[in-house]
Amino acid sequence: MKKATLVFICLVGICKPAVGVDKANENIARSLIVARLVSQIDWRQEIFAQKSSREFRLCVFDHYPSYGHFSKNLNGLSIRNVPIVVKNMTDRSNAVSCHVVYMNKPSNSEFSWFIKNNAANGALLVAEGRGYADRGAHLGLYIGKSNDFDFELNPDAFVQTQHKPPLEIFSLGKIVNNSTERKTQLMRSLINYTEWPGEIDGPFVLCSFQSDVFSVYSEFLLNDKSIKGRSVQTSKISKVEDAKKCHALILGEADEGKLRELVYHRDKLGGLLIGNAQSFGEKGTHYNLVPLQNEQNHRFEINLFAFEQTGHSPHFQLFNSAVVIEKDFPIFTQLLINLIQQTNWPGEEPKLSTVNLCIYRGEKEYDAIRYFLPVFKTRTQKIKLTSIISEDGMKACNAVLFVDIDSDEIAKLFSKSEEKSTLLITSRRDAAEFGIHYNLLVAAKRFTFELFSANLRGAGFVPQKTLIESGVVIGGNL
Amino acid sequence: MINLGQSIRSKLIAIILLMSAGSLAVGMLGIGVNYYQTSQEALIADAETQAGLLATNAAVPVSLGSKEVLKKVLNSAVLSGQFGAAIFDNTGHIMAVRDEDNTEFYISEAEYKSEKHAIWGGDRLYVWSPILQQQDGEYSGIVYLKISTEKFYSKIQAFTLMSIVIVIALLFLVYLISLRMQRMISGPLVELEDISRKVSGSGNYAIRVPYYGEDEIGSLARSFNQMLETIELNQKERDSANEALQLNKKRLERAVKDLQYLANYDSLTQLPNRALCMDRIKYALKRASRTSTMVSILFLDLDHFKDVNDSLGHAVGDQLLKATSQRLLEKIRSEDTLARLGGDEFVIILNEIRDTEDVITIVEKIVSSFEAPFRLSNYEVNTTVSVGVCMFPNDGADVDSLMKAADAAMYKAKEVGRNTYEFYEAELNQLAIRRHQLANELRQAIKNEELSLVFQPQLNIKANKVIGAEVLLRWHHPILGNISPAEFVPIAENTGLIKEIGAWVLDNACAKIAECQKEGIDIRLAVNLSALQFRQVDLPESIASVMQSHRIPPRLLEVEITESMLMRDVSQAIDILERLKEMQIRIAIDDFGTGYSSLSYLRRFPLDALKIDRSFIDELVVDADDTAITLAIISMAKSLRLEVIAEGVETAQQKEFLAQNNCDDIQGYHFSRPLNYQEFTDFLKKRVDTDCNVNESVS
Repeated sequence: MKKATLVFICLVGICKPAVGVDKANENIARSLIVARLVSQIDWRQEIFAQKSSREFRLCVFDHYPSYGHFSKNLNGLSIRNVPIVVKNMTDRSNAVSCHVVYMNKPSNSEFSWFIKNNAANGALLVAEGRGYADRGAHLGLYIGKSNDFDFELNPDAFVQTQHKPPLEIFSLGKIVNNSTERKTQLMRSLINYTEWPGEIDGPFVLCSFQSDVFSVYSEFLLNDKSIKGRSVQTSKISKVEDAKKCHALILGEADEGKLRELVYHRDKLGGLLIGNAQSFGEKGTHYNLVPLQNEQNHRFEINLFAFEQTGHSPHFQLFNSAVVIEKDFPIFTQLLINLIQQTNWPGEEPKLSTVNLCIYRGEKEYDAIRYFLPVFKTRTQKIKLTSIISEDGMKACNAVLFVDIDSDEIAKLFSKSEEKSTLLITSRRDAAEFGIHYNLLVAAKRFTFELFSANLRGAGFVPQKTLIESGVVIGGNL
Repeated sequence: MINLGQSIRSKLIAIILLMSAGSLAVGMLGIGVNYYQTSQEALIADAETQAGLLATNAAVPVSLGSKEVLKKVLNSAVLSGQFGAAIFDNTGHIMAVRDEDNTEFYISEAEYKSEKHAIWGGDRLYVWSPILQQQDGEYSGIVYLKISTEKFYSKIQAFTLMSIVIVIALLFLVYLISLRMQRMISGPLVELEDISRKVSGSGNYAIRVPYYGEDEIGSLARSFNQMLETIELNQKERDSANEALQLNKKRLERAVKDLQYLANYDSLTQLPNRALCMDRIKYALKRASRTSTMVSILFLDLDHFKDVNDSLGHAVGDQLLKATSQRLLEKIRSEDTLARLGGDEFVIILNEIRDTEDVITIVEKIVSSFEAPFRLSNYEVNTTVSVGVCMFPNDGADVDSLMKAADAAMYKAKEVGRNTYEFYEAELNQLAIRRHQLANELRQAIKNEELSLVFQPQLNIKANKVIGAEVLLRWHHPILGNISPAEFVPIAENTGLIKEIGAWVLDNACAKIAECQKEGIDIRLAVNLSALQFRQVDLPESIASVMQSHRIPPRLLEVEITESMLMRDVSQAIDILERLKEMQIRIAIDDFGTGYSSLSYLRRFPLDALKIDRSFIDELVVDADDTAITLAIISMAKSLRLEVIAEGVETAQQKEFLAQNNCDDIQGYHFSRPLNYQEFTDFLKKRVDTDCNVNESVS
C-alpha cells in the first residue's frame, strides 16, 4: 500500500480514504471508519442498555494489534454520548457484553460460532475482510481495488438483531445477497399484482411505522423504483389514522400493537396491509411476508377475507406461491361475538351479563380472539375469554369453542355441556353429528355459520331472529 | 426405354416427361422449400409463442421468486419434440430448469440472453422470451427454450420421401398419359410422313393427305396438300419446260456448233476461214519443223473476180467462189488444207513437202483447173487464178512472214499477167513494201499537189475533129518520180483514197473546162468515176455542185463508168444515171467488153457512148476474136444508138479499120498521147487552126 497523506472524504458522516494510505494511516482509518459506521446504527434500545449504559464496548476479538490500534485511535471518542471502550476479547463467550465485536479475518469456525450465537447476544458483528457480511456479519470492512476502504452490509443480520442501519448507509456500502431484499422484491411484486378497487392517484405511497430494518431497507430499495407504474413515495407514519393516506402499509413485528386497530378499520383505510411478522396474515393483513419454516422458496400468506373486505383483488397467479389463510381472526372473532351475543341461554332471565367463552385446546384461536376482543364492542354482555385444555374446565364456561379435536373429545364436551347448558361452537364440517350448536365455516372468502336447530332446541338455546336469518339452519326450523 | 433419336413419338414422350419432371421438380422443390420454411417458421413461432406464454405465466412467480412454481410453469410447456427449458432472473441466474435430470438439454447460465431471440442452430432451436412485469413492463427475467429439431427434420425427411414417391408416381402417370397424348400430335405427323414417303417414292403427286382438323397439324396437312398440288402443277410445267429446255439446248448446241463452225469456217464455201487457216499453218509449221519437211503456202486470188461480182452480182460471185473451192479441193491432197481468207482470196497449205517440184506440180494443176469455165446458174463464167507460192522454212519462219511472202508472190503473179503462179522471191517483198509506202505517200500527194491531170484528146473520125479528151491522172512523186496509175490506182482503190482522189480529179477537170472556156475553147472532158464515187447516192448533186462552182455547162463534162459499176446494183445505177442525164451530163461506158454487161440492162441505162476496151483494140485486125468483138460492140452500140469510141488506138491501121466499121471516135497514141494542160490547150488551139484550114480547104 502506498504511503500517502491520510485524506478522508466524509460523506454523511462516514469517511473513506480517497487515496492510498500507509499502514499507520490505514489503521487510523480503519478505527475511525468502524467507529463512524457503528455510530450511525440505530441500536435496539434494550440491547444497547443490556450491554452497558455507561460505556460503548467495542471488543476486538483475538487480534491484539487491532486492539492496539483501536485503543489508540478511538481513545476519547464516544457513541450516543457513551464513551467508546475498546476491549481485547480472547474469550468469545464474553461477546455477550460487547456492543460491537470486531474480528480481523477470523477463522471459519470462530466466525461461525459468532454468527450462530449472536442472535441472542445482539452484538454488532464487524469483520475485517470480504465475504464475512455475506456469511452473516453485520458489516465487513475491506480495502478495495483502488486502495479505498469499503464495506459490505448484511441487512439480514440487522433484521436478526433488530438494529436499524440508517437509510444512507445502504448507498455507501455493498449490500450482500439477503433475504430482506428478496422480501422487498416480493412485496413490490405482490403490490404490483394486486388490483386496487379504484384508481390510484399520484405516486404510490408506501407507508411504514419505520420500526424495523425491513421498512427502512424497503424504503432504500424502492427509492428509485416504481410500483404499479408509479413512482414510489415512502412515508413514515406514527398514528393509525395516518394510514388512510397510504396505498400500502408495511407492518412489522413491532407494529403489532397497531395491527388490530388497523384491521378493525381496514375496510375504511383503502390501503393494503402487508405484514412482516408471524401470524399477521391470520390477524388481518392482506399479505404476510414472513416465510414459512422449511420453505426454500419465498412463500407468503394471503388473506382473502381481507381482500374481500377492502375490495382489492390479488392476481390469480399469486395463489401458486401463496399460503391462503383459512381463518381471518378479526372476522372470526367478530362472528363469534355475534353468535354469543345473539343467543339466549336456557332460562336466561335476565340476560347473562358476562359470558365466559372458553377456547378448548386452541391456543392460536385463544391468542387471536383475545388480541381482537378489545376492539369489538359488545352491546350488553361482556365476554370473558378463557383457555381450557380439558372438559373439566368447562364448568365455568358458558360457551366453548373448539376446533381440531377428535370425536371422543367432542363427545365428552357435549356431555359436559348438557350439564350446564354450555353453548358448543366449533369450526368443522362434521359438527352436526356431535350435538354442536353452532358451526363456523369458511364459505367463499367469507365466514358463515350453521345453526343446528335440534341441538339448540334440545339444549334450550334460543338464537335471535337476526341470527337465524343470517345463518344456515340445519335440522328444522327454530 | 425411350429412344430420343428414334421417332417423334419418343421425342414427344421424352419432352412431355422432361417438361413434367422439370415442372414437378420445380414445383416440388418450391413446395419443399416452402414446406421447410413454413415448418421451420411454425416451429419457431410455436416455440416463441410457448416461450411467450411461459414468460407470461412466469412473470408473477419470477417476481415472487417462486422457483417451484416456475418449475411447474416450465413443466406445463408443451412443444412438438423434445426440449429443455429454463427461466433466468434478470441477473442471468437460473431460477428454474425443466427436467433437471435430462442431460441432453443441460442448460447453463452461459446461455443467458436478456433479449427476445431465436436461433436456429441446426439440431437445436434456441428461443429466449423475456419476462416482463405486467404493471410496468419491467424486465425481470427470461424464459429460455432449447428445442430439439430432430422431429422437424424427420418431418422434412418424411415429406421429401413422400414428395419423391409422388413425383415418381406422377411421372409414371404422365408417361401413361403422354403415351396416349402424343398420338394426337404424332399420329397425323406419322401419317403425313408415310404419305410424303409414298409421294417421294412413287413420284405420284396426285396423292393427298386426309383432313386433320383446324389445328396446326391440320394446317400443315392442308399446306402439304397445297404443296403437292403446287408440285404437281410445277411438275407438269417443269416437264414442259424441260422439253423446251432440251429443245433449246439442242438449238443452243447447234448454235454453238454453228458459231464454232463460223468462227473457224467460211459459211459460203465451208472451208476453214482465216483464223483456222492461220492455226493450221502454225500447226503445219510445227509439224514440219519436227519432221524436217517443208510447207508450202499457196495464196490464190481469182482474177477479175470483182468484175464478176460487179457485173453478175454477188449471188453469182458467191457461186463462183463455191465452185472454185470445190475445184481446188479436188486438186489437193487430203492432208492439205484449203482455206478461204475472204473475198476471192484462198490459201492452200501443202504439208510434208520434200521437193519444190511437188509444189509446182500441184500449183500447175490448180492453175490449169481454171481453164474450164464455171457453170453457174445461167452463166458460164471464165475466170483464172493468180497464185503466190512461198515455202517454209525458206521464205519465212512464221505465219505472218509466210503469209506476206505468199501475198507478195500472188501480186507478182497478178503483175505478170494473171492466170499464173509465182514463187516468192525476196524482191517481191520489196514490192509489198513499196505498195505500203505508196499508200502512205498517196495520202499526202493531194495536199502536196503531187497529183496532176493530163488530157488525152478524143478524135471524131468522121469529122476529124477533137471532140473532147479523157482526163487522166498522174502522180509525180518528188523522190520516186512519176508513178504509174496502174500502180497507185489499185492502191488508192484498196485504201479508199480513190474517193478523195476522184473528187479532186472531178473538181480539177471542171476547173480546166472553165479555164478552157475562158480561153475560148469549148472542150468536153471525160472523167473516170471510181466505183466508190458511183455508189454515192448524192453523186449527181455533188457533180452539179462542182459544175456550179466552176460555172461550166454540163455538156462539157462526160463521166466514164465501167460495166461492173453498172451491174453491181442496176436499179441504183439507173437512178444515178438518169439524174446525171437530167443534168445533161454525158455518160460513157469505159472498158466495154471486158465485163458481163447484160444487153437488156444496157438498153435501160441512159447512156451516151461505149468505150471499147483497149485489149480488143490492141489485137484489132490481128486477132479475129478481138476484131469480131469490136465489130459486135460497134454494132450493138449503133443498134442502141450509142456513140462508140475506141481507146488505145495506136496505129493508123486500127484507125482505118475503126473508121470503116462506123466507130465514131478514137482515142490513143496514134492521135495524141496524154498532154498536160498547157500542151493540151496548145494542141487544141493548133487543132482549131488545122481544122479551120482543113475546113477551109474542104470548103
